[in-house]
Amino acid sequence: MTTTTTVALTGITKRYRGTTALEAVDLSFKPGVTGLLGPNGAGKTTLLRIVATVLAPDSGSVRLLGRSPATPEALADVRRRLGYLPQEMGFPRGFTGFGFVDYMAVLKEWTARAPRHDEVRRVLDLVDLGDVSTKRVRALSGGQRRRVALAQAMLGDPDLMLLDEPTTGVDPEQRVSLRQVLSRAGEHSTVLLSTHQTEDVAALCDRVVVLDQGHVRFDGAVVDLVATAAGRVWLADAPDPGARASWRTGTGKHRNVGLAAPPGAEPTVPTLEDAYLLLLGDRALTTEAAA
Amino acid sequence: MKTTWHADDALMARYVSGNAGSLDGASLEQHLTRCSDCRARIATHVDVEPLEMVWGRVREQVQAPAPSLVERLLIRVGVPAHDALLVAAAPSLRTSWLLGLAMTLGFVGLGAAYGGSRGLALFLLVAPLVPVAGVAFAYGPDVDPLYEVGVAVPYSTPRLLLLRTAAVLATSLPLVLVASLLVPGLSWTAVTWLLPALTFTAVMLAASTWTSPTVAALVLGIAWACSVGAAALDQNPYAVLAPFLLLVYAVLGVAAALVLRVRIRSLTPLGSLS
Amino acid sequence: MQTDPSWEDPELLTAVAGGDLGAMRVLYDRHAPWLSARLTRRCNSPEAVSDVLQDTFVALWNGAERWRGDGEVAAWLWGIAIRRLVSRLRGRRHALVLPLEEVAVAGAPEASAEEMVLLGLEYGDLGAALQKLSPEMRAVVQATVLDGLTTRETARLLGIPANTVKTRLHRAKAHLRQNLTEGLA
Repeated sequence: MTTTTTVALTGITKRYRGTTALEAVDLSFKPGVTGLLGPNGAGKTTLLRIVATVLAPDSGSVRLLGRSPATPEALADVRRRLGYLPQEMGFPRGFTGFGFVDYMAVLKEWTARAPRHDEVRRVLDLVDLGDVSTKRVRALSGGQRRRVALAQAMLGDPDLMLLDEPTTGVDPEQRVSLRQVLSRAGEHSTVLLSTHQTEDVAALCDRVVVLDQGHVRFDGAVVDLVATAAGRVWLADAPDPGARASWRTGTGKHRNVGLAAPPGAEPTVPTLEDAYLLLLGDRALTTEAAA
Repeated sequence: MKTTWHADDALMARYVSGNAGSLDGASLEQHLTRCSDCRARIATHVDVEPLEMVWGRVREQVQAPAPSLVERLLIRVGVPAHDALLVAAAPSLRTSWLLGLAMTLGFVGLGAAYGGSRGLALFLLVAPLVPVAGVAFAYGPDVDPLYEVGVAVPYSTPRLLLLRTAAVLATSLPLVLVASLLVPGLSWTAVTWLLPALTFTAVMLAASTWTSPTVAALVLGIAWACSVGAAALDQNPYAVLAPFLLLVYAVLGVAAALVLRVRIRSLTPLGSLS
Repeated sequence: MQTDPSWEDPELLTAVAGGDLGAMRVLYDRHAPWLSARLTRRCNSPEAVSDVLQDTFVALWNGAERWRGDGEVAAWLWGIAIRRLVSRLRGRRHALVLPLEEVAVAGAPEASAEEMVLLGLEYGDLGAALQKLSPEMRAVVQATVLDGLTTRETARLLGIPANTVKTRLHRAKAHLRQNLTEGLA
């Protein structure tokens, strides 16, 4: 694993009509899989768009794959090695899964037909959609559509993959299979994935960045974030009023997350979700409830 | 007829190698039509490689999307196949759009022929706006569901926009010309509407470097409608094509083209997604 | 709904009509081998057989909705395939060995007991009667009766004039009738 920095963001600020999406954010990324967590409106999508060269920051500097994408040539060069999955993607009427990924492959400069079709089949097989590649995308389920969209982001095995909520609507078995694909990609590419699912981050990412209201609240290894919740998660028969958050689990016990476990309480192994809740406090709770 | 007798391997082997007698072969063939077990067993006697090759060809034929009419036309006139694929995907280059356009122009043309001054005004309103609508529906965040992901690709956006615009002009202008033949007493007017048409197209493209094509189209459409409306109220629809105005259009068109030339590189409006 | 390889042909066909390539693959694996063998027995050009096989399955893909659910999918497929072969053979004189003739290969084994029973089961007495026909008449009977071709298609396949087809078929039927009534007697 190389230690070259693939993405270097310095002082990135972006405002939309009054609200601040990102405020003086400094982040850098290397090959591997990094999760972006945060409530709605935290700035995850904005960050991904800026790295994907789809959006320009109001101020700050962006260096991608060792260069500054200021000129059209530099932009095109960076985009050649980049795969982007937006949060929302529409599909043109009448396109099949194959036709759609083929179209995207042309946009990525695969001009010759035969190798292009081989590559399209390769990425569709990666997301397990080879058999339904001939169906209209609009006839596919939500999870299948998401996988088609993910497939195009993997065309050409890009050095930089930016995925905004790649597993939304995807059913559990497929999600496990996608995790394997993304994990393999992370062995040589830089993968940034933004998600609401803490389990995805826990299962797949080495590193996690937590954003909230345009600021970075945490940037480090997943295990380190989980460790911050050590000793602060406990089980009880009833909700503990002293806890930050408390909910009834399937076993009938109440899981409590708070500043400190009361003496004599039954401690339990913390998960990433617990640490995330502790970090963001009430903000995480209200948006979790709303989600 | 369900039979418990199945062909043995020896017969199958002879059959596949071409050594079964004609009657034995015919019997086996009839049996195979009805027995899935024997079909599966005979598969073990047949060479797999040529079958895999044929499967590859079948799959390719079935997976690859069939090119649309516009796409085939573009390839015929020399556009590279991959460019043609991208261009033909524009909503205003779909066969359904073009058919709708042809029908609309048919009505407008008839209106111009028999509708007197009002019909004429309608024609003059519609004719130059046809390419404007075509370009507005060829590109941009409002009409192209792949706009956002299409920004993050190396394919040159200006190239795509220009190719699509050229295709829109090539497909829609002839249709309008045919409709213009129906306009009575049309001499120069049969073609002078082309000037505002081309000017508006250039202005739209230039404006696309700042804003979305849809907004530019709306502004142009309203401005032109007001002009034609005013001229019609004055009982002189041809006023919008007065020689002085034609000169204005020409100058405006050239200016827009120059602006476009200068700003073409920034045709990926990064900030416009906010 | 994932395609299940244990599905029957009609279900697979419905899936194919819905655009499922996986179902098509299963159908291909089931039917391409025997189709290719059966085609090869009528046309010894591997290239022509490949092309016909390809056309047949593409036609299957495009026409899957038109399947009315009557009879076997295998028979339907053969109907498509043989017609494609015949239209390819149009004008191709040089072609094609018709292994409808009795193959006199040195040391070819006699029909085994199983084969005789098979014959009997498939055709009953007709099998034995067919055996007594001349190769030319048998070929015509095979093409029209067993493969379901029209007179014109049979003529094209065998490379003989349509009138000859009619004559031979007429004589073949007469022979068969005679053989069968003799058998009953």
